[in-house]
Amino acid sequence: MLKVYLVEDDPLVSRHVRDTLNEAPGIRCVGHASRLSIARIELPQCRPDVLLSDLGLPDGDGTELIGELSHAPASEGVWHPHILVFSVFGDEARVIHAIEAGADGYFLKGCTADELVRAVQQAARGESPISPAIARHLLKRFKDDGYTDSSFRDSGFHDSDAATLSGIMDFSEPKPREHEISAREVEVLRLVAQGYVGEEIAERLLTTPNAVATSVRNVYRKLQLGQRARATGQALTRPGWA
Amino acid sequence: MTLRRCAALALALAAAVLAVALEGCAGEARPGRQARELRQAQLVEAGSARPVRLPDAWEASAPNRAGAVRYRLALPDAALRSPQSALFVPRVGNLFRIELNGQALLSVGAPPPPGSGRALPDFSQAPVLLPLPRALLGRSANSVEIEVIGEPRRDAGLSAVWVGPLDEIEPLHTELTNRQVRGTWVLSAAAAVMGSLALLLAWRVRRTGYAYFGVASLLWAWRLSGMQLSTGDAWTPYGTVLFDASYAWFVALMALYALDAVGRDSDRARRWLAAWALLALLISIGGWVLNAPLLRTLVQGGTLATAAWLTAVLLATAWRERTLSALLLSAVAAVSVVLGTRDFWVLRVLYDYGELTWARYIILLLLAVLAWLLVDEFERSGTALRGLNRELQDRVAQKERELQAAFQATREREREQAVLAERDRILREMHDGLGGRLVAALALTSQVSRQSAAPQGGAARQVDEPLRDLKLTLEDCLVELRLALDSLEHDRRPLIEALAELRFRVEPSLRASGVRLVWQVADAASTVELPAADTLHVLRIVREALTNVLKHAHASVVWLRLESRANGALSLAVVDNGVQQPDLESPATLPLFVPQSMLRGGRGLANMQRRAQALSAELTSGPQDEGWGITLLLPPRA
Repeated sequence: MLKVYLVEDDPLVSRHVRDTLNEAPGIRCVGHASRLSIARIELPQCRPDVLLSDLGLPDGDGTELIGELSHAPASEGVWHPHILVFSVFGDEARVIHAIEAGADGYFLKGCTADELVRAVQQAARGESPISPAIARHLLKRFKDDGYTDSSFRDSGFHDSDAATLSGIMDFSEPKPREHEISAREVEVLRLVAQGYVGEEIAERLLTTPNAVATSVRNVYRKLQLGQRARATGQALTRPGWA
Repeated sequence: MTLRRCAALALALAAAVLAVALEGCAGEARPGRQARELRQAQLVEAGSARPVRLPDAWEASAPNRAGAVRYRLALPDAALRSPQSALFVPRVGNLFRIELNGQALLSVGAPPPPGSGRALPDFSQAPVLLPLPRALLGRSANSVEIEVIGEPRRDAGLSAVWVGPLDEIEPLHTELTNRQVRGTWVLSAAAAVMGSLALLLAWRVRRTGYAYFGVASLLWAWRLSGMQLSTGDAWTPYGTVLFDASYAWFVALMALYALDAVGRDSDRARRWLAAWALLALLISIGGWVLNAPLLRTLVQGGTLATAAWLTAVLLATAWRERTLSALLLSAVAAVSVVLGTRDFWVLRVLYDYGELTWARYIILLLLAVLAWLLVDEFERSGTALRGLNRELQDRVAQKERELQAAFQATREREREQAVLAERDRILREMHDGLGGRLVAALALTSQVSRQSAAPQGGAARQVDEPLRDLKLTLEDCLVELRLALDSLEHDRRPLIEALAELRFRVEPSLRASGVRLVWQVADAASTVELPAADTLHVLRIVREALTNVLKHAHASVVWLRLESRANGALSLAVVDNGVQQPDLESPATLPLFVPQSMLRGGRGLANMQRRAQALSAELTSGPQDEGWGITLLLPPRA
């Protein structure tokens, strides 16, 4: 049974999402909160597999919660949910911020019940949903940083830190620099930004949809690594969730 | 230029004055009807008499003579017929006594007592007019004896003598007096004034050239005033030496001024001129000590050579640079050489004792040239000043414009930032407010339809259709909102990115309805950018097309094709494999039983046409290989 926890302050949306998820086979919504403070208390007890979080909440930004969860020291047996950000639209900057903080992807509010269920199932499998707007913003972001930017190195990112973080990295491909985006990943982002979906991209790049999804996930991971490299000091001093 | 014209007038006036003066010199020999010029005399010296030609300059005939000699002149009877005859001696000195037929008529000056050490007075600079008393004249064989007392180095001598009726003789005397005494005083005063002025100017504007001119002019004034000393009291050997040397100095200084004025002054030229000035002084001293007239001649010859050299230099400069100052100065130098040559010939070669120098008038021309050049320079510096002022004003205006532009740009930026901030605020409001509520409304419709779901296999109830429409409408609202907000966000963006976001938004609906969207974008078309407003039009057309497919076509696949044509045009096609839609633009072909929903589709097509027109694009709809499609042909964009 897939355990889902929802953080959403709009009662109508909250109700709709919970009903939709509970109706789907194999998914159960184990809890919901309309405020960050409630979520902080309930989450360690519920230990859901997937966390759905709105961003704008009455007592703060969902990104804070995501950051706290992701920066918790990861070790064997430590609970760590897949996190999906919930957004209406046109909020790519905030969404990317959330992805940097540790979110695994985002999906649109107001999508159909099937889409919602599908997104949750994908997230539980470790896939990372992406949208053309997000891809476009990421391309711009990486381009602004420079694909082989040395600022990460200079800003205190060391191998020891990477080792510390490797616990949450399910996919560790051999890469020259773990936070540098590869040409293939840029190509995937570019195609996503142009409107192609996973299968079409796989077709165009002569690969499998799974590989495309992995590429997207890697992009997210690199985004998080870059961000964490900047905030390593803070991350290690935060209270944990163990 | 008025100033230039004034200066030209002044120069012309000076030239006229010079011409008149020279003409006066030339007119000196104009004889009267009865007046005679006596050029023969008997020189009685040390008891012996010998004939001598007048004028007799002691410097030439007897440089070492000291003391008195007598000139006996026979007066022609023809010259003495008038009731009042007169004797006119243009120049005689240093001291002299005149006797007519043995009767003393005039005695001018007394020699200092022997052994007093005082110099002999010099009265040679004032012409003498002596009426001859009728009583003393005989019927014929009248004679005049002129005793001349002189010293070596003192320019003693006797000029030719005129005798004749007083009314014929007097004008000659008056004219000579005017020129020699009054005219020279005027020249001297003018030279002194201009010299002082030039020195003042040199001091104030720190220009050495004016100083040269000032010193030269003052020197000339002093020299001219020295030419009419009538008493011997002020005479010193130094005076004579300086007088001789000052001619060379004057020319050297004026040469320095002229070279400076035309920009040809150099240390070498200055050294040579200084050396010459010193040499001239030494030669003059030598001339006085040795009592050697040849050395005085040498100084004057050297001076003349200096003037000739200067003329050559100035002419060369004038030829090469064709500047006004060089032209004027070379003209003056040339005139000076001519006048100096004449003086040299008359006074140093012919030793014409009664003649005046002409070179003294050069100062007039020089003063005029200086005045001209000063005025010219004043006018030019005025022009330059005005030019500078204008340039300054232009630059100030330019800076002002730049500041204005910078200010405008800043304001523009601020305005843009304000617009951006406002847009962000609207975006956030729409997102959190309107967007949130729309999502909530969507959730509510889902809730309602879920709670009041028809039993499995049961017939659709009346409420299902409106609920489904409500849901679609709300989704439409969300998409519309998104599109509108997107159009706020970018000035220009690749059309494909906008289409991609549209797809991301509408594809779930398509998928839910069992329609597969096939994305076919040519690489060449993926970089085409459109302005925000045009993008919005295109997106609405595509959305309308997709909505129509969703609502009416009963299709299973819809293709979106974006490709660029060879002429730069962009072709966007939405093609489906559903039922063919009749073109509702032509109502005549409409079957009678068109359902309401089909009419809505038709209105959709009209909307699409309207938007296409706004894009100045061509919209066609009709059957295609796969089924039915609309094609939007966007013209090439700059």
